[in-house]
Amino acid sequence: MRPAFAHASGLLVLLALAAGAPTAAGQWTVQGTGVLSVMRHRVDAGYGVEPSSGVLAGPEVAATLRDRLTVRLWTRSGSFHADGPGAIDRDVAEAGLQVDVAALRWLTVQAGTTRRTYLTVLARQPWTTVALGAEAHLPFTETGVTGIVRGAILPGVSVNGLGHPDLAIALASGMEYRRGRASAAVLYSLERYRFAPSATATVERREQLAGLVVSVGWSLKR
Amino acid sequence: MRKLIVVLALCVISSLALVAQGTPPPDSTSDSTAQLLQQAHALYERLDLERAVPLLERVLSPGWSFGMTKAQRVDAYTYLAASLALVGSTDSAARYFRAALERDPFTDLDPRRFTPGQLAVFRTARGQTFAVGARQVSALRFDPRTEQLSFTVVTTHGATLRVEVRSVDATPGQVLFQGESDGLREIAWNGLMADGRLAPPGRYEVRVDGRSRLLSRSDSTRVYFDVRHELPALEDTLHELLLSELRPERYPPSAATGDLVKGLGIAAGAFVISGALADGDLGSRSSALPATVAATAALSGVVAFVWRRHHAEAPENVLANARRRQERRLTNDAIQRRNNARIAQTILVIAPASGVGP
Repeated sequence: MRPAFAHASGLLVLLALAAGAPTAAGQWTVQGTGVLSVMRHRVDAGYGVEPSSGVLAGPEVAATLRDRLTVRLWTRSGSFHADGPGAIDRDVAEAGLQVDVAALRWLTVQAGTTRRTYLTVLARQPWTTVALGAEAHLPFTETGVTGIVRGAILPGVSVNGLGHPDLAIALASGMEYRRGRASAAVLYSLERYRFAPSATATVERREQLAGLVVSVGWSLKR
Repeated sequence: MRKLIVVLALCVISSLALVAQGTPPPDSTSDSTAQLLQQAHALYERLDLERAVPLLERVLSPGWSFGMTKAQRVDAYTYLAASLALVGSTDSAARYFRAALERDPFTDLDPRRFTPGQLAVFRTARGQTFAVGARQVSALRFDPRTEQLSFTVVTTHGATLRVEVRSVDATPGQVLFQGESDGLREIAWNGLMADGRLAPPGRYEVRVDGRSRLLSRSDSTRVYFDVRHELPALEDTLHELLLSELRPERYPPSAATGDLVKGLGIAAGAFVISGALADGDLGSRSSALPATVAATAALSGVVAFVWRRHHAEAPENVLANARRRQERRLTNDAIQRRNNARIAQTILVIAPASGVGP
């Protein structure tokens, strides 16, 4: 097991314990969500910026226990098309697991891990990240309308051929709307990485994935 | 001589000890009355009436300076009357029997111990005297669901009788008996008042009113007793909801502004993330995507602001408050039901009392 996954597993267990450990008698709410992301990818590996963009889509399933603990699983995939002369097309596939624990009525602590793979005609580059962050909810007076601000650091980033980044963050800001069992969200999301030169990479590498994330969900009471 | 001194010293010491312990001296007055009555009884039993009558007359004379209880006086009158009946002074006997009955309507002669002649004089006396009596209530505890409290009343002869139990606080009483009665009568009380409720704790009186059927006379008496409830501890009901415990049913004017600020804040957040927090070295920044989110958030804020300015009511809070009030009411109803079940198990503890006040 890679260290990043080990860290993530440990973190998830701790968060689950902190949430009071779900019991069989607990009431779960399950929500299914379809996520569509319009993303812009930028990478500079020392040969100039390679811009590409495209759409990622995929489902997400979230199970919430007593409004305190949420476990979410998602996967998404799509293609980025080169937007500049130095860039090449790439396919992207991603799967992730995240645990949210409601620390305060308006604040959720999050921890998760993501496995993402970029596939180009030249190479296949898998990324594994472990994120630790928080999400603030700013509820409007109208029930179901909530502003969201999210921030995370990624202490575990493992990329083939690259060392550990000296900067790895993920941020998002947007709105969420709920009415009955239906929900929708619009967020602007940013992932930013900076890899300092290392033994395997002699130049600094900068990479960024940003875009609009739109999701529509439906929750089921169990 | 030495022995005498020791004996005297012991006497002095024992006297001092008695005084120190506060031992009351023997009640010579009551002893005197009791001794004289005892002598009179003995003389009466030996039919030495010539000596018994003067003794009893002496006890009953105004000059008798010793203490005497009501029972002793009634006893003296009864034996004096019985003695006079034996010697043929029936009028005097009847007069003394009446005196005994007037003081204690429960006075009666045991047919096994008194002669038919004495009984006949006593009956005459009862016919000439009208008095009602009620026996003092004994201390007891009873379950009003299955038991009853018994009051004993008496009339010296046939009368219209009314027996009522009521609180001394002048609340309406419960009439236990109303009708013709002659002699002793046991009257049961189930512990309920006129309103059908259990008698609350407090002081009560049994009032007996009688009107003779033979004489144009009325009489009344009353006895007092205390009622105490013995029941399992009751639960407190939930207090009235305070304003601070309820959600505001109208939003303050600042709520609309707060929504606007939140919307604009989220919009600004999207721009900050795409601008200041993005890597500027990775080419030109696209503003279309963050602008979409910012526009959505800002629009949400503006719409929420305008909406809230015109709709300050908070229907979800009204519903939540109504739900809370309903829950409280249901909880209190359940507590009330449990308390009623406990109250239904109330045991009444009865204790005799001497008057209206404590």
